[in-house]
Amino acid sequence: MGTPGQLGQFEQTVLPHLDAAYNLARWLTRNDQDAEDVVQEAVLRAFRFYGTFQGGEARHWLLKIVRNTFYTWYDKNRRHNQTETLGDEAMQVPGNELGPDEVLLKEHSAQVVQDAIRTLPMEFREVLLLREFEGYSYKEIADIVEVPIGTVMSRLSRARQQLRNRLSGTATGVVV
Amino acid sequence: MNCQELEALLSPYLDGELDAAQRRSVDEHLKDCAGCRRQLEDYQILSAALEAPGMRLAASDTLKQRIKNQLREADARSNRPQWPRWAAAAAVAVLVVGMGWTFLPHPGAPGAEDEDDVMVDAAVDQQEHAVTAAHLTDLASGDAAEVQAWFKGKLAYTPPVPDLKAQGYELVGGRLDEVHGQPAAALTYKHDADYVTVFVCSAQKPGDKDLDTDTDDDYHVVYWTKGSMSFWMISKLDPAALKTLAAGLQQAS
Repeated sequence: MGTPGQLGQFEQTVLPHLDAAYNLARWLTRNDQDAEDVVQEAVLRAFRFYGTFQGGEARHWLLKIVRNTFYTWYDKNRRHNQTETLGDEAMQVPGNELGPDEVLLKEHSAQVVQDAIRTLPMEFREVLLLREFEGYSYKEIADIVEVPIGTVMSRLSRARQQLRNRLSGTATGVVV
Repeated sequence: MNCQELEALLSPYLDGELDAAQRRSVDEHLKDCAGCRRQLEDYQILSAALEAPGMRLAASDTLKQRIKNQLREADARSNRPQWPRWAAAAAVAVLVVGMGWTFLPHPGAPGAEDEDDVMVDAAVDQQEHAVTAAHLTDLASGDAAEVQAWFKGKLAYTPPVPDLKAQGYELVGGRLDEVHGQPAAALTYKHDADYVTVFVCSAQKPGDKDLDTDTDDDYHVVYWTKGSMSFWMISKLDPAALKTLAAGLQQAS
């Protein structure tokens, strides 16, 4: 830290990924204010430890810090904010009028899809976001989330299954 | 392959994470199974749905600007040159005069304790940064005399650097740091896998004050004042061991 020109370099390599950082934080915290706090803290942390950045993909590095910052924040707030552990925001998917065999995912509005993602368990949500929004390979996701590749694979499978179930209006079991 | 086995492979199939052989067997199953084909189709629809506008959320311009400003501030702070000791002393004098005696915390007054809390927080913060950045020492040396000589002239006082080998603590080295805006000598010792860092600062209220303890973010802090210096010992070591060490250091210094 403190090398002349480092701020400029940091701004050029890391700041272009603020949108990705915010997107991840926003989906993890599920509200704007907390997401902004997490991103702000994460970027300052990244700057402080920019000297340890080995090169490579800056977005990957930043998202890893965002995720870690989020979990620190989450652990601190967990006691006061139990929304995540409770069956929060019980989803009102207008899917009940669908026949059990019909899977009409196309019919859902963005809002409904968003709600369905928001209610996924956190460990499923984060792998889904990293895959779908950031296009990361299982290997890259495994590095960010710090779990084996096999775990990434099974979490993603379960994330998609759950999402499909929710959006097809069948709460349990996939109709195939 | 049955439908259940296929289900586990469908997601990696979609993501291009299967090898050629696995891919072929999925293809074969899909050819004959309308149910699994529909599931794959749904996954594809889901992926496409996430591409829809409004799904990806962007940082606001306000946030971006705020972050830029904060980075500039952080950068300016880290580039601040080390002040010569007369300037530091002058700054303290100006601050004391500027604050007026009524605002100065008195020992035993409620403000004095708050001030200790602030110092404990700041010291723990500083230590966390040093650990995360893997920068515990400016001078790595196990030689107490060498470390003490290195500090000479860098601060308004020369911190004692006790040799604690007999107690099982190996000196790792020293660094110049800052605690709550004031310059500090940081001495780091190692005991097995545990590090102990002692910040030595210029005492807010010179005099002798006995050991006090606090805990913050998994760190235990033992602090005391001796003469014109205050000591802030920080470690994840268990508090009892830390207190014993602190008592030894208090006497040695």
